[in-house]
Amino acid sequence: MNTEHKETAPSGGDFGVRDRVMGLYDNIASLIADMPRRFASGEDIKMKRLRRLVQYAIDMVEDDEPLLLGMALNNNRHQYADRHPVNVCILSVKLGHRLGLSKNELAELGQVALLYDICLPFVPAEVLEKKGAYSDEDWRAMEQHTIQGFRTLFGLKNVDEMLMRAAIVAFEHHLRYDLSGYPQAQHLPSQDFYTRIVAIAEWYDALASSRAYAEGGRSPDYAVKTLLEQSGTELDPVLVKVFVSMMGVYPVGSLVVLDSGEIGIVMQPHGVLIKRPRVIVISDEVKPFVADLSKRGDDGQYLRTVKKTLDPNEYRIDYSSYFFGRPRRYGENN
Amino acid sequence: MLTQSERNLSAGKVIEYLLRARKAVRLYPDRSPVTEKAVDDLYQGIMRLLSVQDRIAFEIRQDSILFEIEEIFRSDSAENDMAHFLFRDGLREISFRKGLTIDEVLGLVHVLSIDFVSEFAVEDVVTRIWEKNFSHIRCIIYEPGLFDPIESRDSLQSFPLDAAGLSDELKRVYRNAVARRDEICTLTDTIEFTDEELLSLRRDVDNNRIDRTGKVLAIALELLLLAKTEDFGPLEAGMKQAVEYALARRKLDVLADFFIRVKAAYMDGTRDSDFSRSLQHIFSFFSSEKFLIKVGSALDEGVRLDEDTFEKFTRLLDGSSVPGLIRLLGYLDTIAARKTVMNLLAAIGSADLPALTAALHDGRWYVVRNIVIVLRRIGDRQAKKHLLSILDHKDGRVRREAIKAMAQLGGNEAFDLIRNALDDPDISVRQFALGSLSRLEAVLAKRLLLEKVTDRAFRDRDYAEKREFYCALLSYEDADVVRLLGNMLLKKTFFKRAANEESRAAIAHCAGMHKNSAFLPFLRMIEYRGSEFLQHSVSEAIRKIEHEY
Repeated sequence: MNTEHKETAPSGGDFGVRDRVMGLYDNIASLIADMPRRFASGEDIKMKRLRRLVQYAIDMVEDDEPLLLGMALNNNRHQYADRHPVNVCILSVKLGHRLGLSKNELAELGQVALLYDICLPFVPAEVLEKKGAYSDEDWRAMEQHTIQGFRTLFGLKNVDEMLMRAAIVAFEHHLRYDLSGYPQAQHLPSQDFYTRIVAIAEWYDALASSRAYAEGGRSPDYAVKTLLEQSGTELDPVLVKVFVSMMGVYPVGSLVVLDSGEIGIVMQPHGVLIKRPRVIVISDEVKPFVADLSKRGDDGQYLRTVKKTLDPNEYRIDYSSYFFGRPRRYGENN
Repeated sequence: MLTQSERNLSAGKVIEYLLRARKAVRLYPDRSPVTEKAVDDLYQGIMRLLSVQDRIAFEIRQDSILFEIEEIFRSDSAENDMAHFLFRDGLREISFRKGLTIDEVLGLVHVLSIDFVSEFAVEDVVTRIWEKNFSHIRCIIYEPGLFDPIESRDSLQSFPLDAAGLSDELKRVYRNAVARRDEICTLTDTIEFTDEELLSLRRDVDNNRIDRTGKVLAIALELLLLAKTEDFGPLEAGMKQAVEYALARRKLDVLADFFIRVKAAYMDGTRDSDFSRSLQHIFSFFSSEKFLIKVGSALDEGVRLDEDTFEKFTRLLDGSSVPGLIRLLGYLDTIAARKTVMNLLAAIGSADLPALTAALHDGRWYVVRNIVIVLRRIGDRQAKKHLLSILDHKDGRVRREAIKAMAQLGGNEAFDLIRNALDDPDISVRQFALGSLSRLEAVLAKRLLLEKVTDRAFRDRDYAEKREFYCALLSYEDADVVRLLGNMLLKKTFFKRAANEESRAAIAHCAGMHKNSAFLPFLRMIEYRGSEFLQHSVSEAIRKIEHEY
């Protein structure tokens, strides 16, 4: 990060990392939530501000800041609609970073991921919230938001490379990897690279969010297993593999029970071993410490393994406070 | 050790060098000596300050730049309004650290090379600095409210940690955890990739920078194809916008593909009339003058039509675009652009020959010349009568092309025309006519040449022209020609002796050039006779012919 933000917090002091991450997350969410209204009223859509926010988010992703990912993956089930675009943005950037995209590509991808579904709020609520099967009219309404998205984004003044890509993704994001989705395009040979990335992030956010837990009875690998099941039809199979190896089975912020009897919060995926993240172990007896589940003992056996998962939102445990209260790394080999 | 005032002076110099380097980068390539020196001066200036400090920082204010609280720069003109430009973008400080490289300095100069005055810079300076990811240059940005908590945060945020309640809460977690059965994760520990998958990833990442204009156009067309009974007006406008976008980005190949598809959809004829009308409107844009002028600008800027795109353009353009293309010929600045338009006209011009022949009366000689070339390439004999009308064009360059065209189009007019042109007062036209002889039948051409070289007036032409005529004649390798020219070699005159000897020297030269051994007996006979010039030409010719054998 070669740019540094200097600003005084409303409290008068400097922003701490936690404030910055949360503030950034909320500001992106707020800006995006307000976008449809701005589009509709013709007001300034604050692209520069959006770009700047995304740049800071990318810096945090590059710094491997766990709280940002934690916020994306383990939020409570309220205000999902506002949070969803931000989560998709963070997850997309994370995947893009893993794929080795350049900084300006990541910035482009991040903004695209925030804007591609900008016309979803224009779909009637009764269609969006409908539980049963869609009628032809419902499908038409859903199809319209992708078309509307393309036209809105491409219709903006001074369309640049990013808005063009956002318009493409807006049109394609329900098309599916095998092009069997909607709108039923006749002459598009394949989905755009960004569409394929965003589609995975979108699916994963929907699966790993608390909404999935809320439905109950899910196994911990439910999200990644579902992604792998959708490979080749809904999602790009190779990108899904990259994503799963990057994220691991247990989302950051998950509450897990270890075979040692300890309870922990998933802090960081391993990156290769998908079931062995770094976990902050919490208990009343010792101060929280970080345990690397990929560590083995002298006998060659793993020291700790996840046995069960719990819905973190059912408990009054704020994982974010642990992410910043982790000076004691001594416990890594415990 | 530098004193404070020396440091301030050096810092002021750094800003001066920065502005100079910025100007150099905007005008010259990076490798030019001017840019290299300007960037090196800047680098040395910064390094001088860094030799005594680990870090130096320049504070940016609205209309000035400060170094260690001393003002060292004040904006005095719009062109130099660097402080305001950076301040407006949120930049409050630029600092340099030890370890700085000259490449980083060049990178920064490039970032700052944006036009300060322009209000349309899409990329802001902060973004450009951010993208560069400098290791030893850092910037402080001020943009209020990026991290401010949002009012509704409480409802968005997770439950806060309640230290007092933790034990109870943890107990509840444990209790629930014990009650839950163990979960079995059936996935393997790692995700394996095949070589093919890794290659496809690499391809995707590499191709990510490929321009997507074609896709935007494809989607714009999809929207129209998807439309059922709605008003096509907005969709048509959207497509035109997409076309304009592609034009602005100079994507002529993409546009050709797009219009081929529009044409195919339009010709399909299975959709209702509103749909077809919309497509027809869009398709007609391709032949419009507005479109062609933009194509011309792209060509002038160096965009080239590859073979495939050119072929598509010729399939898409029709007679209605001929007048537009002709007018374009008058606007274009570059030879390459004019050549492309002429190629297009040559390919489609026969669809509107009257428009082309009418352009022969244009006041600009270069337009007329280019139209003549196009007509020659089209090869329609109907154009001959129009070409005849410009054979006395005031510009020799036009006359030349007209002769060439007429010669190629053939017929009696061509013979008469070349015969006359061989006597044109303009030597370049005569030479051109000589070159055009090859387009006539060999017998006719030879007859014409023999007629000219035996004309009494011919010996008054200059040596170089005579040589060209004789060489042209000798290219027929004919016994009659050898006999005639051989006799001319031997011929002596009393009057105009010098001119005659020059003609003989020219024949000798051409015989040598053609290494025509049939001339040897003639040449031997005059080997040591006549002027020094004639003798030299003859001996050279003998040497060349004998050397060949």
